[in-house]
Amino acid sequence: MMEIRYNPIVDEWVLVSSDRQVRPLQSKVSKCPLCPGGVEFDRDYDLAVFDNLFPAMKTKPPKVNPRNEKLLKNRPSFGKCEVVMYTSKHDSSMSRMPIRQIEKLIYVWEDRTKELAKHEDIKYIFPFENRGKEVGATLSHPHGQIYAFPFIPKRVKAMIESQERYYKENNSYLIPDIARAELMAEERVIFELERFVAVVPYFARFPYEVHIYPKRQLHHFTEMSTEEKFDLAVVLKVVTSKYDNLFNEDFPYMMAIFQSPVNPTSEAFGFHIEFYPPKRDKDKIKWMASVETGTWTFINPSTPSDIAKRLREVPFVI
Amino acid sequence: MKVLGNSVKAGEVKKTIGNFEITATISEEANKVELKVKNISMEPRFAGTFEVGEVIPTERLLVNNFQSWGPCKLTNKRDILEHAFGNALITEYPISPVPWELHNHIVSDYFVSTEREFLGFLSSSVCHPYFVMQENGIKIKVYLGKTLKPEESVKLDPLWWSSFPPFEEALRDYAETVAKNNRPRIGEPLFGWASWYHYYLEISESFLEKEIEVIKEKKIQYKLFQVDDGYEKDIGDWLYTNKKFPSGIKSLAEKIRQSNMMPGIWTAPFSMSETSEVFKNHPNWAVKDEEGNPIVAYKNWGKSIYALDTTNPDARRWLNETFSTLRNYGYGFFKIDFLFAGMIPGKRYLNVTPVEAYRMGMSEIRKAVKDAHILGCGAPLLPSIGYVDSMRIGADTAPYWHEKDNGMPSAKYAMRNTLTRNFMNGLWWRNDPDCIMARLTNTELNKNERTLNIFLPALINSVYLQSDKLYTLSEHEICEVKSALNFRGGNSRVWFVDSERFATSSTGAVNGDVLAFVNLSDTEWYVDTSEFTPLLKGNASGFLVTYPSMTKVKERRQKVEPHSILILMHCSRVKLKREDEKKKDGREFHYYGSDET
Repeated sequence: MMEIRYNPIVDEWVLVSSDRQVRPLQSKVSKCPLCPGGVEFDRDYDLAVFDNLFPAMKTKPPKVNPRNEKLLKNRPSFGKCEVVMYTSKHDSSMSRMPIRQIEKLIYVWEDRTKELAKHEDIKYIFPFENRGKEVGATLSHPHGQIYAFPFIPKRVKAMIESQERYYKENNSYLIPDIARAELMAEERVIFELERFVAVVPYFARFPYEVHIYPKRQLHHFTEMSTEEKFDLAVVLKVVTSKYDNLFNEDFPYMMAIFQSPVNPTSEAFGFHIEFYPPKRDKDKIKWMASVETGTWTFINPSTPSDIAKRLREVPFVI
Repeated sequence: MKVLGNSVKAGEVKKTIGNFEITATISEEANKVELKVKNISMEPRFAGTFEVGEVIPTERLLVNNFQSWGPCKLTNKRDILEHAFGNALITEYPISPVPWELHNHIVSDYFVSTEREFLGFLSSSVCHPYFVMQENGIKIKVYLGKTLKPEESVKLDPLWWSSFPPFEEALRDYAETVAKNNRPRIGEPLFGWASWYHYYLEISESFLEKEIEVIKEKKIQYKLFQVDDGYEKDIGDWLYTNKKFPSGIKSLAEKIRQSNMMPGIWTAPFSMSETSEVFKNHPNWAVKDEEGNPIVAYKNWGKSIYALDTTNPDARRWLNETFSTLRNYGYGFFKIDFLFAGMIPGKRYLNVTPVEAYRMGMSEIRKAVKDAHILGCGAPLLPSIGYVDSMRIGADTAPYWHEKDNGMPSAKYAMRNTLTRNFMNGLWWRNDPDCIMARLTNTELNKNERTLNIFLPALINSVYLQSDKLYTLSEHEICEVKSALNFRGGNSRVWFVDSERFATSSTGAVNGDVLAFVNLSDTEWYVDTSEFTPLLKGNASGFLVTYPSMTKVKERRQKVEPHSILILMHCSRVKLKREDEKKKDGREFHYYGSDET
């Protein structure tokens, strides 16, 4: 079963993809499928992108039985699910990758955004990474994914509305303004370069949540200058390295890269990156429980400025 | 330059000096002088020192000592002549294989550079070539050190010259020409741990086992674990351990290998202490003076140290057996130290030159250890090419700065030579700038000096050995070393601003291209970085982040603190390449690579 179903209660689309239940799990003894020579790669590579073997969306989706009922709507799973290989080195990670490799990854994200946006029916391109078994990552080889949606996801829709409203009221872009406000306040800033800043946001939902903001309004990777790509690579490295040194482990996180929609874009929407680590302490998980999942309201059991202070003090490898 | 009293002109020049005739064949095309010495008397004659030419000094000179620890530095003529008087009584072999020349003069071994000319010998496989600084000129000399039969002639090592600017290019050309004239081995720039600079002689089996455990716990990816001086029973008795190593060195090698590191071991193969079993059992294996008494090559460990006669067949057999045994124990890395002892002048079993004797000893060790990594230390430079995989190119470092430039332990001068001898790196061998020390305690190095010590060896992509008691290090200290590792792997070049200030570039390092400024002086240095950006084919606006401060590069003029390094990281000039492929199952694969433009 593979289709997109409409939830009229909250006005959102759900990807139904029951085939994904048989996704591969990495065995401790068998070869990693993402390594050169593994199931997916019969050759070596530096960075690579490929169509997910178990996609939730496809450019040629299976036909669906259309249900033209008022409340039970469905549509084919048109879209694209890509896997992004950061490096061929199995034991690496963004935190351990050289700056130069992260720069190249940013160029790859840029290229994928450009390519996927060529499909007129793609409306939102969302690069992300699930790291660690705590967030459901099934393979440890450093990789991320890109979902190219045929619709604007609900939370992104909320972001667009909020940023467009802010722009209308202030004649100024929200994301660079938040960056400036956090820099003025100082206490939640973790690391700053000329073009990007990493903060534990004032309104963080997860204890170790970190956002990376550009200092000017950007919509997509495609607009970034060489210098911005370099600065972003350094900031990504510093943040992920600090995460790993926090509890001296491969720190699990979800990394969400928010770009403006495509076909058409939103002028007010600002590019930024959000990290959601599921941990609230070395051996404690911050669960997405009833309140968080049911109401989209988060209870943060820590004070963002305290966490930022801690993350500032944690060493990093550059 | 003049050769045998004549101006440089293509062709052959001859000169008779006492019982010998020297022939110089000059090739202007190859900038090369081939030299030959012949005994023209009717008797066997000892061929010692010969003056083969001279060059006019300029105010600024680059001089070089013959062995690992000695200085290689830019200096000026006046300082050299004043310095000569200070050294008037020094006659020790660690400083020179021709110590009698030091009574009144400073000697530059193998090569010298004035502000107009660069002169360097292309090898030292027969004689010891050197340059003597005198008020009226720099004398070009060679020391042979063996008896020639009547009519016997010997081909000496050739001399090469170059004019410049730029000076750095002349050094590079020289290094490349030497490499072509020899058969160098270029070792891997190993990352490892070494015991010396925190334990010194106080190592023990249990201390080392503790370090191995910490390495596992901290997940530091050392490839090499090198045991330094302190395990052996005596200098010369390398296969026998002292009380601190009850299980012996074979068992230690096994423990290191089980931890997925290559075992490395220190020895001083051409040295025998007066109390060692090897000397007591074989006093005839020592190099002797004219009266037949063993010559004290140097004093250390509170003992007199004699030099092994590497031309003696029994001594060579012993040398081979010692190193074959260590190799069979599992050691894959051999730091061989105090090697100059093998090249002291004196009487040996065979009538060969000290340089030839030295090379016979080195050849025996190489044969015994096969393809294992040899790190030369305290070693004559040119004669070691082809035998060592890596070479110490400066003084021992130290957990203190130290301002005396005399080859004794000094963080400052270890790093100075790292820069001045960088032109040898990757062409003659892999340079070893000596260990880095990441610790903040048990060191007199200040924050800047420590950062310089950690990052400079990484930037020049040399052997990278750490010498700290790892259990004393904080996560911050370990993270700095891990960061330094990401500045390795580049192609490095060094530019001399003056004797204490240098610029280095590294292209293609793990983290990308970097430019660094090293200030060894005691005063601040304000550098216009844009003057150096062409060295990296970069652009001034592409330098975005400084290290270690991790702040943005605000302006071209940058302050480099005394005793510090400033690193500028350059953004990549990535030109992405994509190769698309459609798999049988219909899925699209895109392979990305990049060209650095």
